Amino acid sequence: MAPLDAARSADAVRAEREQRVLGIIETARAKRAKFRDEQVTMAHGAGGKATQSLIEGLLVPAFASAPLAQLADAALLSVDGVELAFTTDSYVVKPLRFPGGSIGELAVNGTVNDLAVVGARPLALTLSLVLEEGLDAAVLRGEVQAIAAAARAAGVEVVGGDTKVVERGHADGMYITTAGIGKRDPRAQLAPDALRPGDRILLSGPIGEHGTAIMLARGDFELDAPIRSDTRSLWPVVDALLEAVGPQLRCLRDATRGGVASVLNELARASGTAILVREAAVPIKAAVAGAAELLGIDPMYVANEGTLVACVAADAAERALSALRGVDGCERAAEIGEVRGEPPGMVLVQTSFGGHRVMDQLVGDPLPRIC
Amino acid sequence: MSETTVCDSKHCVTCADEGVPMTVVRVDPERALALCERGGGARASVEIALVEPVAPGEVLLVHAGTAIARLGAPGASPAGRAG
Amino acid sequence: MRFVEEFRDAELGRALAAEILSLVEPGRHYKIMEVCGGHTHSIYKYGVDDLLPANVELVHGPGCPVCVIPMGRVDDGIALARRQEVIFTCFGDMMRVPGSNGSLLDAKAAGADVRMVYSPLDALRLAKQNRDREVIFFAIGFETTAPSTALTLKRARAEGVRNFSCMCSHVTIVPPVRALLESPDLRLDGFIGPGHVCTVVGARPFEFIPVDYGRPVVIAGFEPLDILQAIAMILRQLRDGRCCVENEYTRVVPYEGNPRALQVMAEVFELRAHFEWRGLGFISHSGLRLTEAYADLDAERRFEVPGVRVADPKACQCGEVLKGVIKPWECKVFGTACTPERPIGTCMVSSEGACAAYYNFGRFARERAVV
Repeated sequence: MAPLDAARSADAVRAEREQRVLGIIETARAKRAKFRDEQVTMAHGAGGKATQSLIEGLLVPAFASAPLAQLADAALLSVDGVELAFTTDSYVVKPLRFPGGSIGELAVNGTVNDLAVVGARPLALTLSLVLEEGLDAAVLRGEVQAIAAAARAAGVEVVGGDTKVVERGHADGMYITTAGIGKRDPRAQLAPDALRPGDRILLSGPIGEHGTAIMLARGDFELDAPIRSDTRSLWPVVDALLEAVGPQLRCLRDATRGGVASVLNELARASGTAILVREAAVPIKAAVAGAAELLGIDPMYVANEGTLVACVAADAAERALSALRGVDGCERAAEIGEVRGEPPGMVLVQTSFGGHRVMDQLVGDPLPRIC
Repeated sequence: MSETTVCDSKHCVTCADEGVPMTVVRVDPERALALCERGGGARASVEIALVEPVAPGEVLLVHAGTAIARLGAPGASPAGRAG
Repeated sequence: MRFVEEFRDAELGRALAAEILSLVEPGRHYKIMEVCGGHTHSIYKYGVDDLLPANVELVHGPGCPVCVIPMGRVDDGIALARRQEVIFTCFGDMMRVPGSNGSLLDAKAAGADVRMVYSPLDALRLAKQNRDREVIFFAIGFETTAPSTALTLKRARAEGVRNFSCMCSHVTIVPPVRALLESPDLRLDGFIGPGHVCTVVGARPFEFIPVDYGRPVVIAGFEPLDILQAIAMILRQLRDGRCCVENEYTRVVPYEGNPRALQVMAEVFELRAHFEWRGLGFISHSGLRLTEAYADLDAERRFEVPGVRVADPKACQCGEVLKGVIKPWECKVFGTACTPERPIGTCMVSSEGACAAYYNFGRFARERAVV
């Protein structure tokens, strides 16, 4: 074999070996996650790989339920021909009050949003309050009022609840658990595996506000920035999208724990497609970008509480974007990327500089107790 | 009472040998610190012993809470690349 | 901000890429090492690789002061953290570095009071706010970070803070680079010098590389254009048969470094006779400890630490990856036994480690032109 051929052949062999190693990694990643940890760590609550292993490895197999296995933000149930959505959430945010909101407001909006993003009109919720002995009555009153105000603003009724008190030293003031119920909107035909190559990814607003606001509100660092949580009901946003593009809306996701990056990874995995994000197109407020840089965190992984990711068919993208921008608070909505066929299950970023990188699932816990 | 955070952000300040340009807002000569700002209003307290004296408006390169170099006065052009 | 925007310009990037293409000798393969984790991070974050021809290979060096901390030292940190009276503080990635029986993060899950800080000043403030506890700061980092620790220790003394101490694990950058160059299986053509370390120590300490080992060094900033410019400068030296230290980062790096930083370091620190580096073994005069004058602030003198030396796992091939002998994916345990969630060695532990960076960002290989 001529030397040049030998060299090329050696290169080809190396490239093949590299591909094989990458293939092993991809197979391992595609396998159902197993829950092998010996104890629960904060990472299990972060919304990334550890959370996934807990849910897919322990909870889903244990409960053997078809709606549960869908792992959507809310379960869709058909009851005597009526299509309902049913969801539950817990709120353990610390501190209880923060710029832009409080635990009560988060509880209402978070639950409403879980229903909204599966295409259901939110109707009612129940609340369970776990209160710490010694909690200031003024704080409790404040949260109750916040809950009532948020429910009114979101057009839902608080129809039931429960209260428990635990000894001083537990519950960090207050924990709230909710259950929410809604009615599926006939205009919605959403599914995470509905993504097709060519579809477009839209974002309803600037990212990273909630998580960063919480982090700063904890006051652990000598850092200060005018950032407020983006907590709000997303039903008006969903309503506008359904009205504008109905069946061409493939899927919606609330970008909470783990941020936009986690949501996109979930969608890519569920649909077996690749998602390409254009970094320069992602809206972000200067204060959030600045604080994130100082804290060394990537805003794409930071929780939002009033921002959604929408996947729409290509020819509906412009209409959808117009509709989004017409909703209060979504003026900075943008198309941030598109769906591709290859490589399946991966999220890639086209950097502002023109290069590419992989945007992987979260491993640890960037910001615990943010919701 | 549970406390502070674990930050696994795919980025570590020390490893990345990070240096963030920040503008001086206010100098606190008694505490030998400066309040500095990164774009959009994000502010932090910065140790300035390695670069003082500094004046409001100056840009400093900050690593892990300490200014390690000055980047010049506002409006000054960055030094041309060598070579 | 002005400085940053200018240097991220994609247009200039393409122009520099063209220049690099013109400087490459057809058929020749170049291996250029960046010593600093920050450069690794930028290269992946911006996809700088994408703009280089396949002839130019970037090798990621031991620029991770966190992940080179050996297991025995992590165990020492955990032993201190487990003490009831201690609040153990450290920087981000340090929490996930595996000791022989888990990481600081695992210790935290088991009840140790381990807290993350962004600067040693945060740790000092914790000490002032918690007078009844002993606050220990796990000091890590190269010469860029050491002055910060030194200044904080001086501050602690000046302000009379008695419940604060430092577990000093700072390392210096020249010894491991020299160790790499001494290695017979080394195959490197040039070095991208660590821009921020040089802000403190200046360019002079790197003169030994061209003088003793005949390889060009260009000290670079961290924007993608800085890195591309530095690569072009290295290739130009190689083409012209020159060999010297050049400074691409003149806007920040003075030849003589920062005299005050060097002075405060000399006052507070001295070199340990030798220090063990995970993956690289014992290197003499590469680690710092507190001088006699600062003994009262030395956690290792104030408390008992096990000080047991723990050998690197046999399967770990980090040493070879660090020397550029093998690529991350060529390591036998890459992606299987050693992943970002369960890292074995240096290169996978920190996000800026060569293997972690490749796993997280570089898996999607793009076709690049061969010159």
